[in-house]
Amino acid sequence: MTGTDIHDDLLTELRRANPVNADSLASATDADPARSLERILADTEDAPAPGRAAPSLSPFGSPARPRWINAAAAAVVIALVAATTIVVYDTGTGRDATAAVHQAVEATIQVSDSATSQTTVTFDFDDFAEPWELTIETTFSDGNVEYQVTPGPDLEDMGIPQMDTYAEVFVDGQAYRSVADGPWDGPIAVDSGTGSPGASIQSNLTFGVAIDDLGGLYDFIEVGDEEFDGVDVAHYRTHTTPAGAGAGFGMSLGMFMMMTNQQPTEQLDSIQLDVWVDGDNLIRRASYSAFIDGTGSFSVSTSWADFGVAPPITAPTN
Amino acid sequence: MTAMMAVRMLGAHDQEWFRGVYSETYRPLLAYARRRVDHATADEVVADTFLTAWRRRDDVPDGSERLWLFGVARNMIRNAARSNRRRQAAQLRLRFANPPEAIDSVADAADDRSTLLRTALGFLSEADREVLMLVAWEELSHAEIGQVLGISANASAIRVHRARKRLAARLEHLDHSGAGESNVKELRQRGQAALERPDEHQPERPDDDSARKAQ
Repeated sequence: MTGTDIHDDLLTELRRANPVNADSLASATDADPARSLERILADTEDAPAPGRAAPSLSPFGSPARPRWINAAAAAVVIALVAATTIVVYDTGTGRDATAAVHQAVEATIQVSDSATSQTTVTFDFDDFAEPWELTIETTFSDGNVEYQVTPGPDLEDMGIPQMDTYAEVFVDGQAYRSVADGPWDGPIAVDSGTGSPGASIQSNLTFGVAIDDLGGLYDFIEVGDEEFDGVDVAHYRTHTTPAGAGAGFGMSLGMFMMMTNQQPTEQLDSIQLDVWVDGDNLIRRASYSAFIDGTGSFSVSTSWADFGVAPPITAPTN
Repeated sequence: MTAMMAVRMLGAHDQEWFRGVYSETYRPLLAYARRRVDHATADEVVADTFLTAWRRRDDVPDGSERLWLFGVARNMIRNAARSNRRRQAAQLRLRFANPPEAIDSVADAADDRSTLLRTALGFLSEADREVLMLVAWEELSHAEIGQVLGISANASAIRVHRARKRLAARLEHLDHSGAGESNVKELRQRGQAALERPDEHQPERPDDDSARKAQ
């Protein structure tokens, strides 16, 4: 099946909105492209060694086919002289960390309808007497979501006011909310799929979407094998931008955006992002942390559990 | 056969193979790049992508050369965008609302509905926008999109589905927040203002408000 076989009215309209007709562009045999080709063929620089610049350019996690090792030119020559074919596999770099994370993303999405998560947001600024934390506990179950936000104590002097606990439940197209452990307000109809505020909130809380966005991050390295919550996990790390990190954590996106709006983003250009993957290839934990020069740091850490066995969500009653 | 002759034969074979790949994929790769960045940048991306393919010719998968090149070009465009993300975002939105004037467009590309669609597309995340462009403009299948992005066909189908829903929601929002044509004009003006004062303008992402409310 090709792209044109994927039938959909909106995609058909989008095809018509294509701003560039490839057939009208210069061909490879036109003067400029032909000159460019000859310049490329004249290039004699060796391919980057595995693990240097190559991984960030590769759209695939690992070599898609056996590779000739250019550096071992003598071996190739000897093989040709002997009129044999020699195929040398790249064994020097071990498993590709980015590919491993992306595979874990796919595997985790498959079970994302049922899971629980806990997110901890930590602000550790130099002015604070001690770090301030906010936790968010979430349950995802068969398309329904419930979560509770529990903020730390107020730090009025530091600009963090008293915040109440806050809970929301989205179940069967209805929303309920409760502030400061008070009575549930609702049901409020959630018109999913139409872009209404309720639908957007629900979309942000969808477990699979947040995990899915991790698949858009690259250049992971393998930190090593560790234990998390009694489970053996592989630890991977990359660095990303504020936008990239924000996109990878749907639940904490609001908090993250609030912070980055308050702080000049130039101070946050590098954010460390860590992912832990268990033996079933499921993402068990992910965190990002940023250091703001002269101000302090903040971090967001989310752990997931109960894959496939999260409890059902029912409408709350007062 | 001497060693030197063998080396020359190997080089000649590579050149023949690369000329074939270049001939087959130059246009689609140039179209891919010009759909995403301005002319000058697109030309640089295409040249750099082919240079990368030449230097890493042993990594290019047989039969999937075009998809591999798309993947390399995508990463180059993403890396370039990191250097000035905010300005890039403003430029991107303006660019999607106003297709490049010098490009020969397909028949319907300039009508209001198409302009509105491209505007809506410009407000999506990079990941959503990319899968929609790959399916609609590069006309790739889910499996092929998976090869470009380094994910499975199933995962790419999921991404297309979700991105399509978000495009529909954004489109409906644009449709309902004002008459289509006037809305597009306003968006164009906002995009222009963003280009002139990039630090003061951060177009709101569709989910930002709701995310704040969720906290």
